[in-house]
Amino acid sequence: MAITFTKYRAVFADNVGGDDAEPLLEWLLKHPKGKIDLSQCTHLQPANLQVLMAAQCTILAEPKDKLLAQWLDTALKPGMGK
Amino acid sequence: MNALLEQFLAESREALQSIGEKLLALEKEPDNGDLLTELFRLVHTLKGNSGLFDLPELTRVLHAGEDLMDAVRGGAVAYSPLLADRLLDAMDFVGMLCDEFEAHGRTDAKHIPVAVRLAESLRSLQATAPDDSGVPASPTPGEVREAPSDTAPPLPLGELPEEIRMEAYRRTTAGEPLHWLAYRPDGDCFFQGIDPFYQARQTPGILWGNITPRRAWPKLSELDLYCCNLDFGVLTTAPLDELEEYYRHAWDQIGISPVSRRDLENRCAVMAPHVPAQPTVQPINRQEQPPEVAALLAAQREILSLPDDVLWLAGRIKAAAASLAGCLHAIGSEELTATLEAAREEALAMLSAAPLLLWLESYFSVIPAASATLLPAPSLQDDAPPPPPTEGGIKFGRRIEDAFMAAKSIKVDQVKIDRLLDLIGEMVVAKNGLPYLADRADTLFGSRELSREIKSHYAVINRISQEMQDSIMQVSMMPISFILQRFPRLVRDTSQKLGKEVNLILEGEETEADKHVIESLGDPLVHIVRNSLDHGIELPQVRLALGKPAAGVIVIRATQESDRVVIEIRDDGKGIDPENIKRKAYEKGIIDEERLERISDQEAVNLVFAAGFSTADVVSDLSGRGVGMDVVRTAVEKVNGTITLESEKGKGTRIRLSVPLSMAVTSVMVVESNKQSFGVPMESVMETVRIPRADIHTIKKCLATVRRGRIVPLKSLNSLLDLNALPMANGEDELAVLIVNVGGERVGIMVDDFRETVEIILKPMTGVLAGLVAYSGSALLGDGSVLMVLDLKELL
Repeated sequence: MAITFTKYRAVFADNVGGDDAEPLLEWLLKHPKGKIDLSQCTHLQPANLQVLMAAQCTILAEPKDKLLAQWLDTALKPGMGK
Repeated sequence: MNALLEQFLAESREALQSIGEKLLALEKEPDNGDLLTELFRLVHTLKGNSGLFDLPELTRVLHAGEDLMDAVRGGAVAYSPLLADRLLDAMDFVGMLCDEFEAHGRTDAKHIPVAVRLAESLRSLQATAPDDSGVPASPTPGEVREAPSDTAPPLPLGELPEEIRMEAYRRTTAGEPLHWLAYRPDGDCFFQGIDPFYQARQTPGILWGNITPRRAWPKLSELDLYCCNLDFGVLTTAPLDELEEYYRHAWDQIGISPVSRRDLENRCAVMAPHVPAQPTVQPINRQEQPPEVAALLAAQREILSLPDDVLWLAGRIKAAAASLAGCLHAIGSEELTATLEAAREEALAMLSAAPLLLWLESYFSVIPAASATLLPAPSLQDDAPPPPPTEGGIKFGRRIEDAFMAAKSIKVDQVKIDRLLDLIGEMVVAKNGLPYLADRADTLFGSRELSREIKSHYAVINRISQEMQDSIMQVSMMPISFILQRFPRLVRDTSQKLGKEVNLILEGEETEADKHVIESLGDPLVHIVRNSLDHGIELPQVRLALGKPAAGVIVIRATQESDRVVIEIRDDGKGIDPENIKRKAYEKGIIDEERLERISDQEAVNLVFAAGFSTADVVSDLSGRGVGMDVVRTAVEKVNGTITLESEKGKGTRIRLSVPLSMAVTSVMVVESNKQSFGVPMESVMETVRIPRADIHTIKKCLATVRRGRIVPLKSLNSLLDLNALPMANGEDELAVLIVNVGGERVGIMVDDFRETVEIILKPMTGVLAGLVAYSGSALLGDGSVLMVLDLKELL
């Protein structure tokens, strides 16, 4: 499992696969105000991205991977607080 | 090239050939249902096979063909000559791809557009058919076709970060191609294991990318998270062909449009208000222009696209501007003259043709050709690729002027190969006559020179015939995988039926042997493996209780040992209990009481090969009908093979089959006893020794000697054959002893003398002679005499 869930935040690490999307969705349904930490994420399967985009959740930290951050920037702009 | 690919290519060519034939036959009788079904089956198989390899174009075309044939077969689409034509074209294309794949191990991405077009031309036949539901049989092409057209024109370059835009501008100025790639993955792509985001991130030459939702997001609770709702856009500097190659699997899901400097500048225009804004006048449609004006415009476009590094650039700009002004006048668009004037001034000031070219492009837009939604319109910097041929133009020149591919393999009737084998066998024997002739020339006619010449000729013929024999044998050689390939399935099915867990390990599948030998091994092997499954491997709980892993292991290993193939079948099951065997054998009357007392454990386990023996307590439908191992033994011995069994109670069983590589020619050693010659098969000969009479001891009425630290029982061939003579010793009172291996035991056979080894064709005994079990057959020697070949197993 590449996502660690705590009460208030979901921490993504390394390569987040397609199987992680379902728990992520469930968690966000339970914690609509949950925040996302992407700093350690290197790639995420687009199903996860879809969940993040649909949930319009707050992104606490952008990925350290500059290129990934750039991509996600275009998809998650509202979440990035821009 | 691997064997699978070879097989695929051979089968595909065959299938293509049959498809062609079937289509032509259908032209004569379009209502023949059998032909249609057969045709569908062929296309279907071909498509299925192609999926094993990286041939997306081929699979795409065949998939369309398969759908079409399915519709034809179901009566939804009527057969027509047009259909046949298109299908034949598609098959020619497939044939061409096969050739290319064979030659280069891959296919060129440039075939993708052709494949798409062929697939569409096939599908269009289906779509126009009177389909009862009115829904096209395959909705995918229609859906994906939209992708490029509605995402391509408005390039989302407005979001482009400034530093990326600068970089892109710098790259295009340096002459690098710049493309915007819109990628709209299939909705169900996640289920196909595709990660479109990863794919997009890895796009070659990527400068920047964005992700947009295709449709507005539903409420989170209603989100179908595994249905892809994302579109990807990539700005890349990779050349077109590289992009095509990279996206070849998703060719119908992408749209590529060239990005010109102007596109980047326009963005600049939005940012810098002092530059004249976008023209409000609608671009003039090129097709409304008179042809002369269009030609003039094209000429100016070309002139302005030339490199700017010439001294007469200013003159060129002025001339082009004058021509364009003339054109405006000619088409009555004088209102644009002012903008033209401005562009001209700017161009002259910058000493660059770009502003004028920009003006030309803005007002005289190039109407994309019909194919431009798929194929990018050739940009000015690009070498314009030739326009794709129209539908009628898709021909591969393979039907009439067919350059016949020299086939790499041919199918030959087995009978012909057998005949060759027979002939080479006879040749080997005939060749053996020459040394005798040489001897006769020397001894009878006293001509040593002639004898020597015959011998040197013999050496040449011997070499050639041996090579010939080898090559003919190669022809009829098959890998043992031919029979082993059915075992994984057999083991899986059988073990499930029995509720056992078994891992099958196959080794040495590439070992080759004569086709007859391989084929004859099929049934015995099935029998042995079934026996192992049924009687050998225990149930998982039993195994666990015994401290073994729950899953049993069966290993089938084939190896080549000189001129024989050895197949070992090993399991880690419960093994064979010799006591059990002894008791059963006694109960069934296979051994008598006296033998029951004396028999060793090793001998006892080999009793399973005796006729009418079966150990299973319950007769199952898998094995254990009492026709088990003796049938196996007989089958193996029929091809001059041997079978041995070793078993340790509780540890497992190991069965070794040893069969000759080829049955055509046998090599035997000729021995002499009581002035007669006999042949002994070389595979059982261990060594030939001369043992001094003093070293032969008598142990309980039996003769024996010690050889290499082991006691070897000795038997006289004369007494075995009931010849009333004693073995003759040589001048130093030594006896010639042939040490042979029979069923794993070493036995010395006392003969009078050893002679040469010869290669013979063993003819089995027929008629009344067939009853003589001491001989396995006879053979004709080079000097015309008949050699009897001993069957040591029966003799000892």
